[in-house]
Amino acid sequence: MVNTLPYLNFIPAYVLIGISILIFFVGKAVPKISRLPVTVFFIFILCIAFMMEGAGSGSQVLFFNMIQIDSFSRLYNQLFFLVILSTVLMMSNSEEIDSDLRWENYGLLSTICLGMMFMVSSKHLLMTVVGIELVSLPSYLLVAMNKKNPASKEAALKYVLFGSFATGIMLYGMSFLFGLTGSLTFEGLWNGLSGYHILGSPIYFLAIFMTLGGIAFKISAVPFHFWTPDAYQAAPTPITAFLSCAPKVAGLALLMRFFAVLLPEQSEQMGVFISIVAMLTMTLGNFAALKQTDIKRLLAYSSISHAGFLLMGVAVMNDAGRQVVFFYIPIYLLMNLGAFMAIIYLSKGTNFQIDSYKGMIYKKPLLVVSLAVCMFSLAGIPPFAGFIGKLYLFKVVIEKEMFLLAIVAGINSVVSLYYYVYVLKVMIIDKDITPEIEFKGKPATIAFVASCAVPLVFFGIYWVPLLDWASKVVLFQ
Amino acid sequence: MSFIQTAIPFVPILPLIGALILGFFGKRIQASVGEFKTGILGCLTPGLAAVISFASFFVLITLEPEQRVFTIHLTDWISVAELDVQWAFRYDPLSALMLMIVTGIGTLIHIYSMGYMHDDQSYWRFFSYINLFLAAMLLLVLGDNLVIMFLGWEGVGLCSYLLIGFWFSDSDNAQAGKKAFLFNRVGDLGFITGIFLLYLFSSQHYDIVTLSFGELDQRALFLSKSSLWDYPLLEIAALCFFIGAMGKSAQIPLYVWLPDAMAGPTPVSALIHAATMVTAGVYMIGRMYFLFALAPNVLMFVSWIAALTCFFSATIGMAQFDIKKVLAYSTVSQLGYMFLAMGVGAFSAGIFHLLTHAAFKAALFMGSGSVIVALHHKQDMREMGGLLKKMPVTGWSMIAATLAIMGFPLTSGFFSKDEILWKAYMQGSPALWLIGFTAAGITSFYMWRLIFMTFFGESRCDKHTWDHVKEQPKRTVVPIAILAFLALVLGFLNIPHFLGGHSGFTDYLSPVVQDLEIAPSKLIETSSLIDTHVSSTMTDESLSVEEDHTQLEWTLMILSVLWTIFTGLIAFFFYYLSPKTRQIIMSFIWAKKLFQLLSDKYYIDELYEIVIITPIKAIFQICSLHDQKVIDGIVNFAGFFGKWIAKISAVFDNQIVDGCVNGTGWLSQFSGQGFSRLQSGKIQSLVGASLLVGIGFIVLLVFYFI
Repeated sequence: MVNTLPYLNFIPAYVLIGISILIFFVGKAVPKISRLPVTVFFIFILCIAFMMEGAGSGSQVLFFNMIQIDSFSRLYNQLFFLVILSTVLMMSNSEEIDSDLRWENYGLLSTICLGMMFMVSSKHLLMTVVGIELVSLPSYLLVAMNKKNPASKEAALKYVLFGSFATGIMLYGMSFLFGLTGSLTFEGLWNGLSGYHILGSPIYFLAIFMTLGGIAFKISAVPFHFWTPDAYQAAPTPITAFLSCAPKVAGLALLMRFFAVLLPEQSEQMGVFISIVAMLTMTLGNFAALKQTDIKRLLAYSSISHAGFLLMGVAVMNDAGRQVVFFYIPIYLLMNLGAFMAIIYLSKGTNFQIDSYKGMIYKKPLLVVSLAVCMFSLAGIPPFAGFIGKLYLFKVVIEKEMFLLAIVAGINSVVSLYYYVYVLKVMIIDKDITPEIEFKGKPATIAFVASCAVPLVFFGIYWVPLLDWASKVVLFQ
Repeated sequence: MSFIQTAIPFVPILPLIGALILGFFGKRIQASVGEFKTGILGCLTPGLAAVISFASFFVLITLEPEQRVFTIHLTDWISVAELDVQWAFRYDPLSALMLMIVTGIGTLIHIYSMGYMHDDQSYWRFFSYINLFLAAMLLLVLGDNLVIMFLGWEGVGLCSYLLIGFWFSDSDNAQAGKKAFLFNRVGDLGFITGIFLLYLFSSQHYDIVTLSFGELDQRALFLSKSSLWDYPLLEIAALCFFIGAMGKSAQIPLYVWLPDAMAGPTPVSALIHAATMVTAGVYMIGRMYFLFALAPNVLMFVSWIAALTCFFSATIGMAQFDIKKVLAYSTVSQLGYMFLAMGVGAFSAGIFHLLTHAAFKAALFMGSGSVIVALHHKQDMREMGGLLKKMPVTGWSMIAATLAIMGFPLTSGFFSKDEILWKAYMQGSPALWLIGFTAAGITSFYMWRLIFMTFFGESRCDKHTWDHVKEQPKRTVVPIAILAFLALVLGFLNIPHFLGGHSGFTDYLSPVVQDLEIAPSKLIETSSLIDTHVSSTMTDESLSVEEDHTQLEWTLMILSVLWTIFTGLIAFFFYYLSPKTRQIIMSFIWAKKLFQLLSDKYYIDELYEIVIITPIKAIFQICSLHDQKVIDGIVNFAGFFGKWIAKISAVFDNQIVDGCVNGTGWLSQFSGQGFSRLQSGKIQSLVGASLLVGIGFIVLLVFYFI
C-alpha cells in the first residue's frame, strides 16, 4: 500500500541533482572521467534541472507528509539553479579556488543544492533538519577552501562550531514542539499549538524561537548572525557570494513554508515576532557595516541587513508578502552577485581593503560603472531595480499596518546609503596613489558584472515581467 | 497492594543497586574489606532477588489460573502524540518462570564466580558487570511493553559485550566482544524495525498506543488484516522480530559470534551465553506468541532455520577440541531445538526446553570451568583425561548433565527434547523431525566424546599439572552439583499425557502462552479463512486425530532413545575403548577432509570475510581515497596554519582597534564600536552573545504578549 518509489516521478530535478552528487564524488576517483570538462558538464546538469522544474506542474504531498511539491518549491528551485550556475562561473574566474578541486567543489555545491531543494519543499521538521544540515555541512568545507587565505580554516572551524550550536538549539526546540503537540508536520504542529493554554505562554515562544534558530542561522538573522562576517571574509569570494544568496533564500523560503499554515491568532503573534527579528537584523547589519574597511566584510554586513529587509516580507504572513519576497530575491541576487564578481576582479591576493580601490574608475571604467549600478541598487536608489523591490516590500508592510517596521526600515535604507556610496566615492572621486598594477582577471568577469547591471537598470524601469513571475509563486498549488 | 505487586519491582532494582554500588565504589570496597566480602556483597542482591522471585512464584500458583497475570504500573515514561509508553512490569506464569531461571541460576553462578574469579584484580568489576547484566535481563523479562523489553534487550547486549571482553588487555578477547556486539546490532535493527512497524500501524487505527503485550494481544487479529507493500503486516513484523532473535539467540546466519564469545570468563559463558541471554529470543517469541501465531509463513521459516542451525552446529561440535567451544556449539544447537519448537507452534515445549537447557548447560559450563581452573587455564581436551578420579564431584555432575542433554530416559532433556521432536513430526514435517533426530544423535556423540576425553582414560597433561589437579572448593562445586541434580529431575514437571502425566508445565503456561493446535503449514493453506469459527472447528478435528497417534509417539520416543544411546556408544568405543580404531579411520583421506571441514566450521567465518567484510573494506578504501584528495588542500596548509593564526589574529586585532580609534563620525563610533566588540572573533563569546540576545528576545516577546 505504501510504495514510495513511484514518487520519484514527481521530483525529477531532485533525482538529477542527487545523481550528480554521486557522479562528482565517484567520478573524481576514475581517471578517465576526471579529465572530462567538468564545469561544462555541471552547467549542463543545472540547465536540465532548471528545465525539469519549469516543466513540472501541480501540487503533491510526497513521502509520508515529508515533502510538498508546488509552484513555490519549483520556482525557488529554479532560482537555486541560477545561483549555482553563477557561482560556478565565478569559481572558474577566481584565483582563490584550487582548480584541481573542481570535482569536489561541484559535488559539494550539488549537495548544498539538494539540501536547499529539501528546505523549500519541506513540510516536516525532520525534513527541515535534513535540508539544513545538507546545506550546512558542505558550506563549512567550502569556506575552508580558500587557498589564498589560511585564515579560512579558522573561520570554517568557527562556522562549524556556531553551526552545531545553532543546530543543537534547533533540535532542542523541535523536541519541545514535539512534546507540546505530538506532531512534526507543520500543520499538525500549529494546530496542536492552538490550545488556549499554550498560545502565548513562555514555553510556546521558547520552543518556536529555538526551532527557528537553525533557520535564522542560515539566513544570518539576529541573534544567529555572529558567524557571518568572519566566515564571509575568509571564504573564497565566489563562495562568499554564494553563501550570501542561496542558503539565505532557502532559509527564507523554509520560513515561509513553516508559517504558511498558521492560524489567525498565531499569525499575528508570529508577525510581531518576525518583524522584531527583521528590525534588529537590518539595523545591526547596516550600522556595523558603516565602519568596515574590508569590502568583503562590508558586503557581509550588507547581506545581513538585506536578510532583515527580506524578513519584512515574511513578517506580513500573507500571499502578497510571499510574492514580494520572491519578487525581491532575483533583484537581490543580481546586485549581490554582480558586486561580488566585481570584487573578484579587483582583488589582489588577500587584500580586500576598500582603500586599495582608489581611482579605479580610470583603469576599469566599464567594471566600476557596472559595480556602481549594483551598489546603488543595493542601497535602493531609483531608477534601479533595488528601489522597486524595496518599494513593494514597504507597500505590503504598510498595508498590513506595521508602521514601526516600515519606519525602522526607512531609516535603515538611508543609513545604508552611506557605506555603499562610500565605496563608490573611493573608487570614483579619490585620486589613485598606488602604482600601476596588472589585473589578471579575464574579460568574461567584466561581462558577467555588466550582465548583472543591465537587467538591474531594465527592471528598474519595467518590472512587469518579474512581477508576473512572482505572481506564480503560490503555496500548495 | 498484594505481595506480588509490591515485591516484583525490586527484582530488577536490587541487582541494579548492586551494580551501581560495586561499579562506583567497588575498588575502594575491595581494597578495604577484601575480596571475599566483596564477592558476598556481589551475591547478596541477586540472592535477595531470587528469594523474592521464588516467594512470588509460590504466591502466584495459589491463585486461580485466570488471575495469574499482573501488570504492575510504576510510572509514565514517554507520552507524546499517540505513543504512551509506561514503566510497567508484567508478572505472569511465563515471566515468573523466567525470573526463577534468571535469578536462581544467576545466584548460583554468582556464588560459583566467587571461586572462579579468585585472585583476579578486577574482581569488583566482574561482579558489577554481572549484577548489571542480571538487572538488564530481569528488565527484559519483566517489561510489560516492547520498549522496556528493548531496553533490557540492549542492556544485556551491552553487558555481554563488556563481559566477553572482560580480560580486554588480550586483543582477541576484545575482538570477540566487538564481534558479538556487531552481530547483535544487526539483530537489534530487526527488533526495533518490528517495534516501529507495530507502532506505525497501531497508531493509524487507534488513539493510544502503549505497545504493551496485553494491548498487542487484543489488536493482533485486527492488525493481521493490514498489509505493507502487499505483504501481510504481521508476517513482516514477525520476521523483523525473528531477525532480532537470530542475533540475540545465535541462529543461522548470525550465530558466529557465540562460539567466539567463549573468550569471556566461564561463569559468563554459563550465565549469559548458555542459560539466560541467548534464550531471550525464545522468550520473546513466547511472549508474543499471539503475533507469531498469525504469521504462519514466518513460523515455517523459523522452524527451518532452527532445524538447520541445530544440525549444522551439532556437526561442528563433533570436531572441536576446545572444551568450551564444544559446549558453545552445543548451545547453538540446543537453541535450534527451542526455535524448532517455536516454529512448529509448540511454544510451551520450547519454553520447557529453555528451562531444562538452562539447568544442564549451566552445569556443563560450570563443570568445564572447574576443570579449566584445575588445569591452570588449559582448555584443550587433548591435554585432559582421567580427571574423574581427581575431581569426582565435578565429573559426576557433568556426567549427569550429559545424560540430560542426550535425552536419557527420565532425565529432563528426555522429556523436553522428545516433546519438541514429536511436535516437529506432527506439526512440522517428517523432514524437520529427521533433522532434529539426527542432531540428537550427534549431540549425544559429541557430549560423550567430551566426557571421555576429559574424565576417562589416561591423563595427557604434563606431570606437574597433573600433580596439582584437585577438586575445586565447595563454593564452586556445590552450585554445579545443585544444577546437575536439577538437570536430572526437572523433566518431571512436564510428563506428557501418553506417559501417564498431565503436561503440568503446559497447563501452567496456558494462561499466557497457548500452543498452536494445527500445523503452521495448514494455517497457511487456510489463512484466507482465518476466523474464530473455522479455527475452532479445525481444533476439534486435530484433537480427534491426535488420539490415534499414541503408538507413533511411543515409536518415535523409543527410536530416539536407542539412537542417542547408540551414538553415545560409538563415542565410548572410539574415545575410550579403542582409540586405535579411531586413529585408523582418521588416517583415511576423506575422514581427514571431513574433520577439517567440521573443525573449520564449514568456513563460515571465511565466507563472511569474503562476502561482507571485503566489499565493505573496499568501499572504505574508495572513501578514504576520496577523502585524501579532498583534504589534500587542507593538509598542505596545515604547516602554515599555526604560524598564520598568530599573525592573522594580530592583524585582526589591529584592524578592530584601528577602527575604534579612527572611526569616522559619531555614528560609527557609537554603534559600530559596540557591534565590533560583539564580533571579537572568539567563538565562545559569539555563542554567548547570541544566547544572551536570544534570552532577551524571548523575555521581550513573553512580556509583549502577556
